[in-house]
Amino acid sequence: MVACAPEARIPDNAVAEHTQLAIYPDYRDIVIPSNIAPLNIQAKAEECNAFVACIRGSKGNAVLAAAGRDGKLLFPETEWHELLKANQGSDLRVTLYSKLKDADQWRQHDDYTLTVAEEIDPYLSYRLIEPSYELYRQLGLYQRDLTTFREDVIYENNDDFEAEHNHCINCHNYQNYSTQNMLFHVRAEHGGTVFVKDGKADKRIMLNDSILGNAVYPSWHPTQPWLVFSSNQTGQAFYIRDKQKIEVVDYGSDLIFYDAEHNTVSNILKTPTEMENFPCWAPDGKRVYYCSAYVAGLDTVAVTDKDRRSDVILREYDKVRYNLMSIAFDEKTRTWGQPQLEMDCVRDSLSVSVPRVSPDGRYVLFTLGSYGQFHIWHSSSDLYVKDVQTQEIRPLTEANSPDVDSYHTWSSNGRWIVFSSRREDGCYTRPYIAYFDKEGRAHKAFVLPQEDPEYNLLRLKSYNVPELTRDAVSTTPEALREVIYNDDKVGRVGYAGK
Amino acid sequence: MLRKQLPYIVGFVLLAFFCCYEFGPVLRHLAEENYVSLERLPMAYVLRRSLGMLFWVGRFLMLPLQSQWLGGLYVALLLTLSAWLADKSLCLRQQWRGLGFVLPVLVMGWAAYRGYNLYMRNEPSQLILWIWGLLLLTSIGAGISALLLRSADRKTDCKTNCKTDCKTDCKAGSKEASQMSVRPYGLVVGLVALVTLCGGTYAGRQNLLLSCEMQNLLIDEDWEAMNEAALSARRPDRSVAAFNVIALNQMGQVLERAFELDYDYPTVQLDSIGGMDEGVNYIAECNLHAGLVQPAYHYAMEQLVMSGPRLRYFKLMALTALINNERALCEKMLHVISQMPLQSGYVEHMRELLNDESQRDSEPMIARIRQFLPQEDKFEQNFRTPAFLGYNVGVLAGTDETLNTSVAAALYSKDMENIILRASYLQQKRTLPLCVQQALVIASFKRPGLLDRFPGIDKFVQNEVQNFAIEAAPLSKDKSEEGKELMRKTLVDNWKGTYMYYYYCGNLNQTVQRKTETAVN
Repeated sequence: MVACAPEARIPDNAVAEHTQLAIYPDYRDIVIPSNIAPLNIQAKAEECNAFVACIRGSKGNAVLAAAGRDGKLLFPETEWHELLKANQGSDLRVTLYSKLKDADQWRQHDDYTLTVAEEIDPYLSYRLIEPSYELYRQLGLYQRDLTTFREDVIYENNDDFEAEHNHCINCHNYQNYSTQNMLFHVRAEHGGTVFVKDGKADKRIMLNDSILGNAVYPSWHPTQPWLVFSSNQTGQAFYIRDKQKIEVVDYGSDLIFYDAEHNTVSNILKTPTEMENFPCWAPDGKRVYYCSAYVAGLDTVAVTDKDRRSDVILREYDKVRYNLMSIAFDEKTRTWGQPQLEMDCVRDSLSVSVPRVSPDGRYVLFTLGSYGQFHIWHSSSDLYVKDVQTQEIRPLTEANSPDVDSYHTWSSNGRWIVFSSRREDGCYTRPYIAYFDKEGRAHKAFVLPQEDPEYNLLRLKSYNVPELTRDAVSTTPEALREVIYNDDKVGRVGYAGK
Repeated sequence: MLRKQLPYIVGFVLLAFFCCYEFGPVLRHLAEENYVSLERLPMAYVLRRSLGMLFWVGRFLMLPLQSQWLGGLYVALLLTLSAWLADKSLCLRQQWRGLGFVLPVLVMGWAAYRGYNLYMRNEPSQLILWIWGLLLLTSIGAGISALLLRSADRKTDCKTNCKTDCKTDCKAGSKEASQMSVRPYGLVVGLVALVTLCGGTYAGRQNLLLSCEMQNLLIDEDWEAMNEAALSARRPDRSVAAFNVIALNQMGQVLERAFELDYDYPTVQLDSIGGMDEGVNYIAECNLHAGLVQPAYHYAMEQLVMSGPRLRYFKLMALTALINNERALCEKMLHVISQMPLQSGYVEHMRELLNDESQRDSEPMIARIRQFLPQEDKFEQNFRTPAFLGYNVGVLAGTDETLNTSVAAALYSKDMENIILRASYLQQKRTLPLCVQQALVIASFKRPGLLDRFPGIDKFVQNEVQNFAIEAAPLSKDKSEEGKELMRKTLVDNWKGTYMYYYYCGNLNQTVQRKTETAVN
C-alpha cells in the first residue's frame, strides 16, 4: 500500500548537504533502457517526514515525485517516459530532498545519475515460485511489460490443492525472442511438454526408451523447428548447516536433438562418464554451447540404479566440475561435429553453467561457480563472458554481487542482460538488469522496477528463469490449461536415431 | 430485567470459560497459524484460492485471538449474541430463552470435532468465519422476525394476541417471569449443551488442547509448564510428546525425564491435503531445538508453500535466520511480519537481537539452541527422517550437548547398538543417567560381558531390570495385539517411567523411517 503523497514541488531554500540519502532499491548511477518503467524508490531516513525527488535531463521537463513519512517516491509514468525518450544517450540527474521531522527545514542531498541507453525488449517472462525444497503448490509463469508495471499470467497451476491435478511447471523457453514458438514443461500430474506454435498449443511426452530421461533444459534453433535439450537425472540434497540451503545435482545427463515438426528425438551425446548439460544454440544455428563434467566411476553404475548414481555424485558433489564446451552442427545434413573445449574450468577449479550466446554471436555469457551446475543455489556463482573473437574470458565484475548471480538472458539487441540474483537477502531471487556496452563491458545491475518500491520485500516468491521477448505471449491461460489437462491425446516422442 | 437476561448471562459465563480457559489455548494457537496483512503480496496465496477474499476477511477477524483472554471473551461474546439473536428469531417464550445456545454449541462442537484439522493444512480462519457466519445468519433471522412482528402488531392489538408466542416477546409481564422461575427450559437445554461441549472437548480432544497450550507456552519459553502439561495427558500423541522433548531439552533434562511419558500414540485423524502426517505440527520446532537450524527453515518454508502465509512459520524463519546470522533474510521476514497488526512488539524485540550480537547470544533459548549446532557438513539426506530424530541417531561428530540428545534419540529408537556406542562416550563425560543404565542392562541380556565395559552401572539397576523381567516374562509370550495391550496395562502402574517399560511396552507401532525421495521443482 502506498500512502497519499504530498504535493511534488522542489522545496524552497533547501540546504545543500553532501550526504547520500539512503534509498531502496539501489538505483544510483546506473544505465537504464530508454523504455523502462519508472524507477520508483523508497527514501529511508527515520528522522524525516517528507521527501521530494527531482529528475532532470538536458532536454524535456523535469519529473518530480514527493513522499510523506513512508518515503515512497513514485514518478508519474507519462512524464517519466517523455523524459527518457528525450534524453536517450545522455544522463539524467536525480536530486533528492528530505525534510527533518523536528525542523521546518529541507535538505538537498548529493545527486546521482541515470544514463539512458538503448531500449530493452518490452517483455520479461519468468516463473514465480517460493524458494522451496521439494514441495510446490501455487506457482505460475508470468510476463511483465517492462515499459509499465503490468504483469500478466501466462499460466498458473491449480489454485486450490487437488491431488489429481497438482502439477509443477518449469523451463519456459522461446525461439529467437519471439513468443510465436515457445515451450514449457509440466511435471507430476498432467505431465508433458507444452509447445506453442503460432499461438496454438499442444502437449507432448518427451520420453523415449532410447534417451536417458525426460527432456529438461531446452534451446531452440534460431530459425528451424528444432531443439536441443539436455536429458537429466536430477536429485537434490539439503544442507544441515550451510547457508546455501540446497544442492541440486545431476547424476546423469546427455544431449538430445528434437525435431518438433516430426516429433522425433535422437541422441547427440550419450556418454557413460560425461554429463552434458545446459545446451545453447548459437544465433547462426551452426554451433551448440553446453557444459560437460567428467565423473569417474559413473559408468560402473547402471543408468537405472538412480539411488546409487545419486550416492556417487553426492559423495563427491563439491568435486564435480563442468567445462564449457561446444559442438558444431551441420544444418543440411543434421549431423554433429566433435566436442570442442571452450574453457577449461576444471583446470581452474571452477565449474560452468548456463552458457548463453549474445545475439551477434560474439559473446558467450555464463555463470562460474566453485563446483556443480545448479549455480542458482551457489553463492560463489558469478557471471562471466567469453569473447569468441579474442578468446578472452572475464568476469562481469560491475554486474556481479557477493551472492548468487545466475540464470541470465540477453536482449535481442545484445545491449542488455537480465539475470537472477539472490543478492538482496540470500534467498529470494530477483531479476536484475544490466547494460552490456559495445566494448563488451557490463554495468551496474539494478533490480526490476516495481510500482511500489517495497514490492520485492513483500513478495514471497522467487523469480526463476527470466527470459526476454519482443512480443507478449498471446495464448491465453485458459487455452493452455485445456491442453495441459487433456491427457488423452498425448503420445511419447518417436526415436529418430540409429 | 436481570432475570430476563439470566440465560444469556449464564450462557456467556460458560462460553467464556470454554473459550478463554478450556478451548482458549486452541484459539490462541490459531492466531499463530494465522497471518494477515492489508498488503496483497504476502496474501497472494490466500487470494488465489477459491474463497480467497472471504479468507482474507476471516484472517482479519482472527486478530483478537492473539490474546487468549481477550480472544476468548471476543468469541464468547459473538456466540452469546448469536444465541440471543437465535432466540429472537424464533420469538421464543421467556421460559425457552437460552435454547439459542444450541447453535453456538454446535459451532464450537464442530471446532472440537475437527481437532487438528482446524488449522493443520487447512485454512485457519474457517472457525472464525463460521462464528461470524452464525452471527450474521441469526441477525438476519432476528431482523426478519422483528419485521414480521411489527407488521403483525400493526394489524392486531397486542391485547387480543395475549395467547400468542409473540406477545410474550414484545411485552414481557410478570406472568412470564413467574413462568420462567418455575420452568426455565431454554436455560436448562442451553446449560446441558454447554456442559456437554466442555466435557466432550476435554474427553475427546485433550491432546489438541495440550498441544496448543504447549505451543503457546513455547512462545513464552515456559519449559516447566510445558512439561507439566505433557504429564497431564491421559494418552499423549506425537505432538504432545514432541513439545515435551523440546521443553526437556531446553531444561537439560532430556535423558533424565524423557521416558516419564507413556509412549502409546493414538491415531490422529487428519485430512489428506498433500500429506496427512501429524509432523506438520511439530517437526520445524523440533528441528530448531535440536540445533538443526537449516532443516527447521526448510520445514517452515515447505509449510508456507503448502499452507500459505502463517505467522508461526514466518517467526520461525526469522529466528533461524537470526541464529544463522543471515541478517538480510531475517530482516525480510521481520518486514513481512511487521505488516500484520499487533506484531510490532515482536518485531522490535527481534530487531534489537538482530542489531546487538551480545544481546542475541545471551538470549537463553537461542544460546541453548546454539549448543546443539551441527559440527559436520552433511545433508539431511544422510539421515533418516524426521531430521531431528535421524540426525541424532546418526550423528558421528557433535557437541557434548548433542551427545545427550543423540543418546536420547537412540533410546527412543530402541537402537541398542547405537545406545551402547554412545553410552561409552557418555560415561566419559558424566554419570550414566538411570534410563541409559537400564537400557544397557537390557542390552546385556543378549550381549554377555557388556556390563564389564560400563562399571558405573548400579547393582540396584540390574536388580530392578531383573524384577521387571520376572514380572513381564509371563506376559510377553502372547505376541498378539491383545497380548501386548494386556502386558502394557499390567505393567504400567509399577513400571511406567522406566526404560524397561518403554522398551517392551512403549511406542510399539513406530512408523517406518524412510530415506526421502526428492524431486527438483
